[in-house]
Amino acid sequence: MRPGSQVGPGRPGWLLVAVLSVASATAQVVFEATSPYHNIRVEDSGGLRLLTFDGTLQTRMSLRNPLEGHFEYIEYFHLPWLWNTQIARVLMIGLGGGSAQRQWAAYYPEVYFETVEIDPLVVQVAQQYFGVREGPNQRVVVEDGRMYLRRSRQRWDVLLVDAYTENRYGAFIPYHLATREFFELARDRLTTNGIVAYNAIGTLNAWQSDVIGSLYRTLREVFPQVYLFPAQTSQNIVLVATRDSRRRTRLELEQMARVLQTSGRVRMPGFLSRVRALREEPPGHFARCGVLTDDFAPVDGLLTRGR
Amino acid sequence: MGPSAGKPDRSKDAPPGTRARGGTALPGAGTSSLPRSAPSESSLTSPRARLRPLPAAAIAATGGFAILVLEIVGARYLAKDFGSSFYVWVSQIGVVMIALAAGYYVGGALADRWQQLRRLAWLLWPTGLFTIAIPWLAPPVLDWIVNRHPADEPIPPLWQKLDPALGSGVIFFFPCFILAMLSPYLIRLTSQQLSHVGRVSGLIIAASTVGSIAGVFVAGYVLVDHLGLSAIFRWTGGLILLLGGVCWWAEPGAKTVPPETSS
Repeated sequence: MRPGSQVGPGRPGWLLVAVLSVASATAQVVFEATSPYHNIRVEDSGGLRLLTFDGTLQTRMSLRNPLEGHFEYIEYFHLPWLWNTQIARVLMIGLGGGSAQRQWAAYYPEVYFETVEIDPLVVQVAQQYFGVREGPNQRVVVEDGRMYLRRSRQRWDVLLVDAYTENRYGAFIPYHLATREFFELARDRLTTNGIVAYNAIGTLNAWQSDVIGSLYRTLREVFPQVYLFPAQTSQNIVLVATRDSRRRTRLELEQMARVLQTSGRVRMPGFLSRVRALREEPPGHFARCGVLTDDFAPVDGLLTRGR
Repeated sequence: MGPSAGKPDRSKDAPPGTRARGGTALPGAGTSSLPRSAPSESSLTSPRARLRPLPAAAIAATGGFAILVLEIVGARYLAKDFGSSFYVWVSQIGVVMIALAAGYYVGGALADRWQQLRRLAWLLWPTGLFTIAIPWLAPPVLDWIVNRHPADEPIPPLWQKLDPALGSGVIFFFPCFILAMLSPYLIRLTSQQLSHVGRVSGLIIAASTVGSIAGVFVAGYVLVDHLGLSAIFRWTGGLILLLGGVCWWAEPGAKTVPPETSS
């Protein structure tokens, strides 16, 4: 990545800083348009730049420092370093406001990071208002995530999935990104030590826990190990699935996290506390949740049920 | 959306005796001379091919139900190959509407020509079998559509839009086309007299649309949550086979009706 195009905290010339002066407690709409997928709105409020789809917040970014203000779950996308310290190629499904893209470009500029986003307007908005820059190590492709994986022969060390959307009628998961067949495809496109980190909206025991349980069980069908990381400040759960078959204990993961932080491999502040969110045993009721397949994936029905 | 716009059949008014019109089932070829002086009570149907309105409405409703189940479930089925793109829904709706338009037109023409309910069975049975076989027939075709684009290269924008329509057309055009024939066909067989065509066509079209409404909600709210897609195709195919059976057995001419003189 050329230094000039680098997204980083140490660049005061950052375009968005200019907007800071007008940011106040009152929300100011910067952009609004409707794509085939969402009503997309960008607004500035209280020093934060906000992206909403259909009235629901997708991305938060501090106008002062684009590497701050993001949602907590974005930080769990750094967890794959625990299993692979040599990550070189990352594929992410779902762009939104590009929080993960900004972080990876800033903290790991040597990693090749590619994003697949279905909505071309979202790509434009992320580039124009959220500082997502394409460069030799940051690329954005407009396509459906599953189609892209299917038609691609490339191998990835890490696959990040953030394709959920949510509005006041509930959360919506694209069912074709949640089935056994999709995860098999993902596994086949990963390197032998490959890792999937999958953001899901819900809780472990109440709201939408049936979907989380089904996702967990479906990932377990394909990947030997699946770890649950519930976010503390929001109702997100990041599921991490590894091709590596050895189960790591909490202690091992925390030790590894310290090593990664002291060596400077993972520079994101607070990495260790994210690792500590690990929930070692899945809730008992997960055993009753069904595996999702292309043929039968009642995600919409599950999403409207509590448990 | 929905198979609503069945066109009332008003083309043929030939007296029962004249069965001439060799071969030309082609719609449009039948711009024959409507008797200008047709009395309002002119008979449309030969007595032995008369169908009662309620059974006809039931058949139309079942057909409309099956069409919309296929449409809704089909959009979901296509997502595994074409993604959850907006264009999957656009093309699914578009293709089904094309099938409806074609089915109405051809169905009306066939009704004039055949005037037998039983013949529909020969169209519905293969359609039912086809629907049951979708989970086996479709994947190779869909694979071909997707894989004809070189790997690791973006699909051109035009094909991003048209590929789902191609896939949808290959799978869902045929069953929806046949099912759409039911409405005009049934209108023809149920209308006994020209003066009743308005009421009969209204009944049949309304019944078909009510069936479609049920199809949308049952498929979207119930079936998708409780059955696998292949099971839904199997049940819908079974329903179409059954409908074929009903058309076979309900043929009015099959029973001996005492001859009566019309007009």
